[in-house]
Amino acid sequence: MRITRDITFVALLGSLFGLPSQSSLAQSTPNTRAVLEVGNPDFRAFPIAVAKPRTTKGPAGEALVTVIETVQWDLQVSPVFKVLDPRSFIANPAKEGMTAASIKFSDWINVGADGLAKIAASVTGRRLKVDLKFFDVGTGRELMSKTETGNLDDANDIGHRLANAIIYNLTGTKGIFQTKIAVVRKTKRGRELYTMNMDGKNVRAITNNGSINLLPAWSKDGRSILFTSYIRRNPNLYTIPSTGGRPKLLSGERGLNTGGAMSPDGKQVALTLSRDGNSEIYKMNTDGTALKRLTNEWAIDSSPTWSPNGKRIAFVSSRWGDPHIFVMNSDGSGVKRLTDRGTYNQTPDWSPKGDLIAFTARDERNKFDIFTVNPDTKEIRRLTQDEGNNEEPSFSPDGNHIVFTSRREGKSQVWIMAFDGTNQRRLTKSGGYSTPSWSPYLR
Amino acid sequence: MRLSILAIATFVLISGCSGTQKPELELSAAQSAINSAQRAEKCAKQIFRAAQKIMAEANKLAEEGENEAAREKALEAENLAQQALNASPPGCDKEPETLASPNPSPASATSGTTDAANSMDLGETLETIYFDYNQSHIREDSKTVLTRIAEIMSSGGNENLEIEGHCDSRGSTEYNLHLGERRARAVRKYLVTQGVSPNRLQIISYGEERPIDLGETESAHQKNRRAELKQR
Repeated sequence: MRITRDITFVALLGSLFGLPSQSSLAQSTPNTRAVLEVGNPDFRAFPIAVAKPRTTKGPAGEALVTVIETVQWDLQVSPVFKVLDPRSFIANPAKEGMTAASIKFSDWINVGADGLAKIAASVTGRRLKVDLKFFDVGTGRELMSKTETGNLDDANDIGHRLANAIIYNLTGTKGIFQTKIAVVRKTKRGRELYTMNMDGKNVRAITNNGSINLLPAWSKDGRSILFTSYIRRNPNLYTIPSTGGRPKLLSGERGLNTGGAMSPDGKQVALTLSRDGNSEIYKMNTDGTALKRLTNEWAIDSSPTWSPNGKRIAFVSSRWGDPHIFVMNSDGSGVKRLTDRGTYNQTPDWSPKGDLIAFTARDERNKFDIFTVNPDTKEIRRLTQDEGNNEEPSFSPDGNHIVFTSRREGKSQVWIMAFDGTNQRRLTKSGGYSTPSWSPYLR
Repeated sequence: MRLSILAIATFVLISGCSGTQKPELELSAAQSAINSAQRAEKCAKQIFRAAQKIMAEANKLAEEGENEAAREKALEAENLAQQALNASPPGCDKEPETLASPNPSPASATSGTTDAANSMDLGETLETIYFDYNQSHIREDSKTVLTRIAEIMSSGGNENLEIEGHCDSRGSTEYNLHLGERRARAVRKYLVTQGVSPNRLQIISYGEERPIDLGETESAHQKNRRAELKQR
């Protein structure tokens, strides 16, 4: 069974990328899959059609529209796919079913699709059942079939699950579509923490205490969020379950307790404290024991972010006058400056892939934009430009995407983009957001 | 003759443009900034030493002919020396004078009313202290206000002050929390050098989270870069 599936993939990908099917069949599956890796010279985006809903009426129709829109949006975000515009489709959704036999594949070939996703939904009471079938348009073969169930309100989550299933089936890699973003939003009384799905949907309040709650950062297992709050007047570091609940004190030193960042092994937290009369970086165990100071400078040292192997920490320091991005070993030794240019570089976030650190810089026109720096070669790349102020980047768990805030439409909203600055998309519909933080893979 | 002048002019022009000349100007400006920040050696030791260290690096680079790098280092050294000076109020390097014992006799009989009078004076004196962009040094125009507050506080009464540090909306949330705290700390330090006991001065930073003015103009930013002094 497993072998048959793999051969199907090899044959499919062989035809998609114009390889002679004999030689692709001889290749091992991992090699063939590698073609769908972004950055591979043979890579080209996979043109995919997500068929229109058969009906948009009633609870099932409405849920189906949400599921289809979610799947389309997700696949557009993924660098692997080129999602075809449904307005160009010539197939009649009323006449097509979910089986290969009922589909006129020439209609899909003619609009340029290589892959076709068909989705149907049914509702019993409050229960929603969604079926996905995925076809290779060229051969008319069904490549995958998946059924997801949930409550009627779960349509968006179900769409993300289906998109993840498609990504996994075609590339063998884990999709990021069931991840979340934690963010701070201004309220009338203060600043509260929220989470949202990675497409900006399903916004949930995590705190509602009327105080100032800031700087969310996820624990490595995604079950809790570290943040700084003034609930007990002093800006202390807390953790809170990522679904909301009671905050637990993690660090309550006198002065600032900010920027808690959990180490990749989940055993330590790096943070910035001002308890010794100056802002310095420390690390401690996740239970608050074994506090150790890592920096000792007259200037501000803050905003630690761990390398994925846990051996290094990048941070902000103004020890040379202006704030710049520095890196040190995670015991505090071997400090090196990473950014030589600009006068105002802040908010580093180390990619889970390890190769890049994203940060915010102010340019010579006093605009804030997002850049990346390679921690080894110090090569700098600019990701945003001429689109208002763009700040506070945070990488997705696969390192392929970045969430950030942008004021390009006036108010501070949450946006995402690819790691190279392409494919920028707004997630929110109103302003007042700051410091988004992308979760690890959840569940 | 004319030709040689032209040649010299061209040479100067070329070498000037290419930036490979020894950065004499920058080096001497940095050195004099360090010289005039001598009192910072005691009051802002770490910044001052950083300036000296970078100055030494600048001189070394200049000797090695790394002129562009030397120029950048010299600029940084000058910048740091200036910051060190800004962080060092005049007289901060002098031995603190023996603190006068808290105002004795005349007040003691009617201490209740005097305290009230002092509080009122203090309350009226508590003006907001403003700061330069990305800076935490006390400006000249704020020193009179702070000196007056220190006088009232050390002439009797036992009010405690909370100093709140704030920033404008530019820059990151976290960095601004720390910058705001530096501002509050600078105010406390100044009051302490003027004789106020540090135990009476609490500090807290709100970063950019409690702006006075929600605008994005320079004047709005200036209103937000502040320390507020509150009686507790």
